[in-house]
Amino acid sequence: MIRQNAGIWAGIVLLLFSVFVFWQSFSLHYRTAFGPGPGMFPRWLSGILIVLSLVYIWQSARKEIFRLSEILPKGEGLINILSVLLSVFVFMVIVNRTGFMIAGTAMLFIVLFRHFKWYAALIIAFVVTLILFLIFKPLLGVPIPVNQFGW
Amino acid sequence: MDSLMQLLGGFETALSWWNLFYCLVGVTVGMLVGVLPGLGPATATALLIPITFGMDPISAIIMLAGIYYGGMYGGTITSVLINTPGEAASVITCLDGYPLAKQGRAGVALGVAAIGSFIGGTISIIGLAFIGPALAEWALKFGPPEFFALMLFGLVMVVGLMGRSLIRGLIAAFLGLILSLVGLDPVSGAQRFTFGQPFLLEGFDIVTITMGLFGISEILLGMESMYKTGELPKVKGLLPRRDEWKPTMKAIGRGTALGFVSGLVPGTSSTIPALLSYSLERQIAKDKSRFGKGAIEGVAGPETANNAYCGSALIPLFTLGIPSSPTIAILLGAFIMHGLTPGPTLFMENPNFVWAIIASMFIGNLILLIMNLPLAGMWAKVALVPPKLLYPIILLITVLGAYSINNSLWDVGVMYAFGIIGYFMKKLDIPMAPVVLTIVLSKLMETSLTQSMTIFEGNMFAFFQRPISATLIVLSIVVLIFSVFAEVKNKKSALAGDIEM
Amino acid sequence: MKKKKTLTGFIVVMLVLFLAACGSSGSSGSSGSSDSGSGGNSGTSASTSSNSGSQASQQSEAKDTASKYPEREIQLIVPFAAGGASDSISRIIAKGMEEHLQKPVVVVNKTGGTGGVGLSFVEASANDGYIMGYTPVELTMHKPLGLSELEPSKFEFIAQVTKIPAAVTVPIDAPYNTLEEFVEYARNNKLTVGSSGAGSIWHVAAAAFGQAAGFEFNHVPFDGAAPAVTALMGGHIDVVMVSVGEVKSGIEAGKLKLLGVMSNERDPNFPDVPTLKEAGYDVEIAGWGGFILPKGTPQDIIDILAEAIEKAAQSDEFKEFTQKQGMLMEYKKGAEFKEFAESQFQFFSELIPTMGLK
Repeated sequence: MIRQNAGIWAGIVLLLFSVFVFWQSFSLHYRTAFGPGPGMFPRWLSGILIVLSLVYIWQSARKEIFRLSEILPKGEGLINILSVLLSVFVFMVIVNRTGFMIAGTAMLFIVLFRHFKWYAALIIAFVVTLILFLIFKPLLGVPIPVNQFGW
Repeated sequence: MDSLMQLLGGFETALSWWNLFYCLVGVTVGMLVGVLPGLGPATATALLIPITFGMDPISAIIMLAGIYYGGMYGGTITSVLINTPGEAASVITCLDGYPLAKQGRAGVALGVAAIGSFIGGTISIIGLAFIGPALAEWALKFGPPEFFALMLFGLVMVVGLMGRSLIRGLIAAFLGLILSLVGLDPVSGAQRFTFGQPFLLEGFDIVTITMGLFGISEILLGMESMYKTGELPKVKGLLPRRDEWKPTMKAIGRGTALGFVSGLVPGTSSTIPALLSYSLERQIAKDKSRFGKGAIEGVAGPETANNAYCGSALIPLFTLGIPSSPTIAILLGAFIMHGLTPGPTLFMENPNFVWAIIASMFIGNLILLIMNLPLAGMWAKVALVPPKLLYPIILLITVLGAYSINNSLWDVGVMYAFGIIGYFMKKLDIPMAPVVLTIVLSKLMETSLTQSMTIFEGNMFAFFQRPISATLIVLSIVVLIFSVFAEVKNKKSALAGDIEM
Repeated sequence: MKKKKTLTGFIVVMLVLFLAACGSSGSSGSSGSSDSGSGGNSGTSASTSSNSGSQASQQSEAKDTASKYPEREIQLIVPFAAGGASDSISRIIAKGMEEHLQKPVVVVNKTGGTGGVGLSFVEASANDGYIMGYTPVELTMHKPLGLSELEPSKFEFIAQVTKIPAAVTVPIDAPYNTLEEFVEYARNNKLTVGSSGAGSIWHVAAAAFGQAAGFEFNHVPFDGAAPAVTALMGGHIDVVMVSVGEVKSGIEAGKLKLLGVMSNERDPNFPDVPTLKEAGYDVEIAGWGGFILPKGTPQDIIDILAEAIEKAAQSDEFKEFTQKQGMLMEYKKGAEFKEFAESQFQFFSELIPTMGLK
């Protein structure tokens, strides 16, 4: 039952996070001459968060509001989400080498191709990327990542 | 009256064909840029300054002011339609604007926002024109202690946005508070939680976090349940229902007052009047539960406050040469680049200039209204684009927007991470607005606290010896006790249905 | 099908807008720029009104001679936000340089880490002369402050363009009217001094003055000089030691008075105000700004850029700008600038540790 309870997991994550912050805050001065030093706020805030996460865990255990199985995406939904995450990741990795046009097209293609015929997905990806490129660069003058050739 | 004559003179200049054109271009461009998530009015203004180089100063500033206003409205559009705020202040608009859109009433939300923005903006400009200088004097009384008290008050207001569970809301709020600590400590210069990363030296950028928490998570959620969406609700209507007009107008009135006063205080940002207005509307509403589900006042009030803020924020700029917010600072930079130094001498040395700008702001506001009322319907139709096409496009725009904040992929990465966090937060019903709002407030708050303590040389009671800060602090304590009490009372009655703790 | 129609319509609208923009904007390439990969090639981009596709390949860049440089646009990295002092200065100089070089000079803001992010980017970039940077005094303060390992020896110096001396400013109704009275008062009463941040140049200026004149103070940091000046005007703090430009409008409004400036000569805008040196305190602290290149850039490229910057710095536009801002135009070329930067680095390396900032 505990394994299924998403609230408990989230609470544990929060707990770990706040403990980490709390621990880190000890390497900072607590007070300065007149008032709070850099360490004071982190220590207090993380301390309170520790308490809150404990309460949250307890509360989730008692009421079992969210079952993990309901929360995590599965099936079609899961693959959709993964495609989004993958696409952005790919974009980030290749954009500085290949430039915006290629990276953008690739990114959109990854997300689109499950829902359209592959050639349609490719065309849409390319056209949308192109339009955005044109709007941002010549029209607005926003610097965007480009490759050697300027696109 | 002297000012009136000068104002009319200003109108004469502003209504020249060229200047009208520039104003129109400014507003349009501003709006288009504001619509792109991640590019808020600050970035839009900064990016477009170079375009104005060749123009004569008056026209240049007219265009920039138009961009500023347009950008603000553009942020509203994305908040309502796709729950992706363009900047921190728009977060508040998402809270009730997006639910309205889901009910097919996006047009109404946008329409109300446009009307409110116009009224708020215009009234605040009138204030700027006629009583500006006098007010600026008063604003100077806000020193660090007053500022701290104001932020404290704002934080207390956030409690009102906790959502259904106090615990989860508090977790969100404290999470935001801790996140804001990352970076250089303003007082001692010590680096906190930076782990040697130069990008973290200035802390997390509020815009990237917001875009991730709200925008990316929304895309993830949407993609996940895409195959489940049935009929999208029909988009209809542009104006509120008859019975909604009165509360809407009242909300607009209150929003104007709040926004105007907030703008006078240097150092605030547009988030504060929006937050205060939303909390106010919610507190005084007869049926609080409507908020968060599409309460019209929740859109009308903050949007108005936000635009009223813009107008009065120019008062410290014009009269004392002090920028009230980062966007204004950029406008200040633009002024300077065109050879004009804002300050008390500006009114004396270049009266035509100042009045022409003020006049063009009226016009800008008007243009915004005229353009947007019909366009609101069109914008709302964006929701009708099939999700499998819409979400990817928004995704690319958002990624690009995040990149353009600082020309770096770091921001994209941060947004990505927060998108995943936001996804889980939404699933676990942990409210996200408190995270963003507390980050904004606490950054300002901690600085003011330390500054005040230094000035007072450690004497905490000095806060209560100054009229403004004392009032605000006492008010905060009162409101805090009141809200917590009310929440607990609500829970007690809800316990009967055994919904949750 | 609906999708196709909306898409086509969208494309048409965008094309129209694009053409309109091409026609009307015509600004000489100050829009549009490119980002380059980490330490890799510098990219090219099409400028708005033309479609120049001149793409120098990497080999020919290395063999670039003075007669051919620059062949394409140059990026000017500004490590601070748009609209600020660094940004404004850079944009005006960039414009002046464009006129001289006949090629676009595009400003790219890379903010963060008190200038660290932008400066690090320049340090790691190719030294072919197509990426240059603007640096304020903060470069020489970074390492002493523990912010990064950046220091002058990691860069080539093209030219300095501005000097921004610190000034001692107090509210108009303060009980002291001269530097001597001020120091006397400060020695006996701990005053609150506002600055633009812990470890900022204005904080350092105050510390230097305090050390030389023998008084201590309570430092109140603000998020930039403007809020500090605001607090001063409201009477919440006692004194600020920021630049003249930042207090100018306050003085003209009759709310502040200037007691002294920390430079060698009196400020032309305020000829009645003595320098600290005249009053007997050997303190000269100023912010400054200049342009740098990655280490190893060929000397002839540096010279070409220095000349372009000199022309730009002497333009009327820049003169007017600096005058209005209360900055001083000060041009130091290449080697002189480098020497100056090194000496500043030494100075701060000695002073900052004594300020007890950790």
